[in-house]
Amino acid sequence: MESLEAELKQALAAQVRLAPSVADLTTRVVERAGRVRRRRRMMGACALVVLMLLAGGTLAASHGGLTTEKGLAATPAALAPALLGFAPAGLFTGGQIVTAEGSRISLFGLPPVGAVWRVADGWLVRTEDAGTGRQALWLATRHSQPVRLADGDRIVVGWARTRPLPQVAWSDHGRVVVATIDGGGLRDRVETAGIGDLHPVALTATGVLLATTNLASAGAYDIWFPARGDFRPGPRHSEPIVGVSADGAHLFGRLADPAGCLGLIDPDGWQIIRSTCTVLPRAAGTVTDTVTASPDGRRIFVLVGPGEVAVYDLARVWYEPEPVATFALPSLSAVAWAGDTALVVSSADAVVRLEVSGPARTNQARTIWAGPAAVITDLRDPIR
Amino acid sequence: MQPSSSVEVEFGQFVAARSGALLRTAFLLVGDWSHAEDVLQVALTKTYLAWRRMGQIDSVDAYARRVLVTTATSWWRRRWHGERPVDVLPERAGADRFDQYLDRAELWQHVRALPVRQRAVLVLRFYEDLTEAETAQVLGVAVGTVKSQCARALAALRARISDAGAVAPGEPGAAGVSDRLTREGA
Repeated sequence: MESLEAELKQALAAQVRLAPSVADLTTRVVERAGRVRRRRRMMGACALVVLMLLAGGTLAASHGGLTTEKGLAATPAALAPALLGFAPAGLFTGGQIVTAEGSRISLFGLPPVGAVWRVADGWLVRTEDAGTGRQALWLATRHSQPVRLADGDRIVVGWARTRPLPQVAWSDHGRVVVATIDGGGLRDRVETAGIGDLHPVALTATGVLLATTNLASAGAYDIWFPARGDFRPGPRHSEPIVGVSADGAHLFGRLADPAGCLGLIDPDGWQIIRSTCTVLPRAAGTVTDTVTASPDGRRIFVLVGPGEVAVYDLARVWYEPEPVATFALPSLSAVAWAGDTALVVSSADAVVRLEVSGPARTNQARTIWAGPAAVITDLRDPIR
Repeated sequence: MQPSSSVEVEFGQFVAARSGALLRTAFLLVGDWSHAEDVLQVALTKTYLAWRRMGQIDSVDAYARRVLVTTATSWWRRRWHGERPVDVLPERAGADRFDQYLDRAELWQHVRALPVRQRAVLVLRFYEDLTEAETAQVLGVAVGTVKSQCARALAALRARISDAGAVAPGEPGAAGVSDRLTREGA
């Protein structure tokens, strides 16, 4: 892509990076549509009266004197369940990215794909070599072959609400590198050595969370703050880290004492800021899939057991035990936020969308894809 | 307000899912958030009124986007006749390679000054990331028209950038993208 086109892409994306929210939009639209329908009926009735008068006849008495608008009595047509528009970042299935608009991007030829994220310039794809286990990060776009951005022992992609752009960190032979993903490439690259047996597992607002490959061992977590210079080993945190807050300032942890409780942890010093034992993240969780905050930071979903998910209001979870929503799905494989009030959940059989808050909230999950597919996380915008 | 029918529930879910993205597209078409919200409301109202006759939800999405673009371009055309002249960008003096490079805010101003159809093509192709065929479908024109409008729009941008005294990205004398991004990230 020529430079002007690339700059144009960035310029347009930058203009809408901080978009305002529109309150009560559905309500206002439905009311407005009602007014339009009433106006059309009145105009239709007036036209009918004119026609009848011109014909010299009288108005037929029906439904109180006026005929109803044609089509209102018809049974509403059921909508088909192919709802790709409800997974804004798309899905990954069968070696292809299926975009929200329904087009497909083949990743044929790449090593096995482990994760996909949607960014402004296309899709980030993390692959893993089946033989060596080394990972690579690619940028896939509609119009060109995937471009390799990084490769290493372990790669992690992250985004914090306080940052305008997503970041990537990777370890490679005892070094760790962190960079910002922008303009189809990487910039602001910073690296350090001396991480020993640690690998990046998550990104916070200011740091790279590192962990030993065997997280069951004591002293499993440490953290590097690039702005402070090279990595210096510090006191390690031994309890499982199960998520990162939306602003990247805190970590969610599964506390050993009391056992299994959810804690909010300051990564700079590992102080436990808050905790609650009404929420028990599952024991087998990892940093990136057990507790995930909504993009606006108001809610979290928590994997509480095999196939079981609970959604909590983050402001109230520390003192109120009731979840906002709960659901269970056999063979659940992944959950992701689709905006701030909906979850997209994939399983062996289907991908479903569940509205967990707001005016569209419902207890019914809507199937948006029949068959297994991985949900793509949207990193395009800090405020969506 | 509690939804009174399954149509309203489904429509509400659609609005929850897509209104943010549609609002952003509307803003890029009309250049103003409050007008973008008006355009979005009109487009969603038309979409809601047509809801029952649409069979597939991806048809709804395509329909809503088509109506949004049509509404926005109609609004823009009506406003164009009364619009104040765009401020003339100051000429750039000197041969400093950073000064020669156009930043994103200035590029946006040049986009805003384009004719409505060219602007719509650029937004659909480079922000919505649609293919030429998808763009043609949204605008209700032939693919060849999309290609020519896009080429004319980019040529117009280059000309406006040149008139402003800067060097367009990719042109001889322009600072490299990595140089600029390094400067911004410093």
